[in-house]
Amino acid sequence: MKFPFKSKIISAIGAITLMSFATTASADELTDRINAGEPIRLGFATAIPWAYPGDNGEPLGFVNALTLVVLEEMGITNYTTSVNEWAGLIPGLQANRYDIITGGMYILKSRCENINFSDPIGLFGDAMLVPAGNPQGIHNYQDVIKTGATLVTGAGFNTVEAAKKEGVPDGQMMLVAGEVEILAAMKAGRADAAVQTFFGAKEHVDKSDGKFEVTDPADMPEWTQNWVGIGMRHSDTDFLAAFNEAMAKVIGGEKWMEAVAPYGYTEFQLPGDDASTEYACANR
Amino acid sequence: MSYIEFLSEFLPRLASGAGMTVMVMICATLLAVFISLLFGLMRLSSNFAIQGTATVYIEFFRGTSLLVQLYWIYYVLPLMGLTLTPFVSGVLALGLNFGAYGAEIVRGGIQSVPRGQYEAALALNMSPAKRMRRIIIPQTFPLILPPAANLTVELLKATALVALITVVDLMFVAKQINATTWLSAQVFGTALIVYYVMARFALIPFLRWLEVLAARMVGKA
Repeated sequence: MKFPFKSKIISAIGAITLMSFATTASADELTDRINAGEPIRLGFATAIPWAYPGDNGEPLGFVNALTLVVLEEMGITNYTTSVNEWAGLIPGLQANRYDIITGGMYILKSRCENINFSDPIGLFGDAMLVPAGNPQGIHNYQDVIKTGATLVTGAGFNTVEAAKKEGVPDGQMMLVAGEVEILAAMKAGRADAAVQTFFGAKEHVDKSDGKFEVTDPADMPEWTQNWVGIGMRHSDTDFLAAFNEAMAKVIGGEKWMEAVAPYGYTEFQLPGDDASTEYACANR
Repeated sequence: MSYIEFLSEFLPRLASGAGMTVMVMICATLLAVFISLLFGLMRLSSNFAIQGTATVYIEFFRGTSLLVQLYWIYYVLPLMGLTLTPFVSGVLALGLNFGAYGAEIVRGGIQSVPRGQYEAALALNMSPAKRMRRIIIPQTFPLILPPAANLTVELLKATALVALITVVDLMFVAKQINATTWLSAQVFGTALIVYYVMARFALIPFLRWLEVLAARMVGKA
């Protein structure tokens, strides 16, 4: 009885070895899967107007919209979506829960260590969300430190690192799960100011009947302005190259601008010719 | 927007989410019951290896956080080559975790059957397996059902955690509606009511009925 069992193990090992050879011989896994006709899986969180799900999970928001334009250019129209917590987006990509992150992620050094980014899809800045009239006069991180105000932002947001670099003490920081919770914290008076993307803050102002206002993004430290890219696994290099090639053809074009217009993205958000993912990875 | 308008617009979505919550609960409960019985009996084994395995299992799953287990199954297992769907991950985490608590209830139930019952079965020349099956286990049901019912209600409410691993359950739908409408009071208020109705008017009466049934089986009702 012992011998057949052993031979089964040996043949199983053989099969696994063969399979691993088979995968290394061709293109990356994602490209293979798409070529086999399987849908590409988009992963994002709920961050209006960047990326959010519609009633049936359909991908809305400008990052999703422009990604679909690029995918169409690549000949991919078959996709599914996965809605996640913001802080779970990178772990979920690494766990192969979806294939690309369309959440609207800033290209940051710490993120580049874990995932690849496409070429930049736009240049964006952060801003402070404060009560109407800005009673404490908060315009940037230094004002937060001076006033001792409580600053709320989302766990895993780029603003967490930015606040730390600017010297905001941990005791003044309040981390919540996402955009929705930021507004909830502001409404409930648990925080004096919120820091988030200018777009996100503007959306919150529109949703709160003038209870809050957004500060001028130009008041924020200039180095916090950053490029956003589409996140991909380190291993899917062929797909990344193909995606960048297709994006170069459509970025800023008619189709692109038409897709993102409903969400407030204008030509001012275009990344510019000198934008590069390598630079952002090294310096942000 | 009045509450009636809110309900007419969003109740269908909340209901489909509630349907998923019920599915998760039923699957996780079945798994938890199976694990409870298996590991509860293993805990009472005289074989050191079997008993040790059960003890390690129970202590591990009781001693670590359910949320961490959930994240672990969802985010870490795929790195080791095992990718389960969100639904299966959720059911597995809930079932394994609550099964560990249930196993201790089963053990306690079996141990509280009076010694005399064992001796009487022995006197009738029953084998240990038959004694367990025919005499001891039927008597444990009325003993373990009340605490088990408690645990099941707890499990129903713990299913809300699976929303964090993208299972589209009641909590997930509620969070999504909240994210787009910002009607927090209405949406989470409704979710509270739905959970309460599920527990109070469906699950608890069913568990109560099981208790009566079990008591009748051993002639105690």
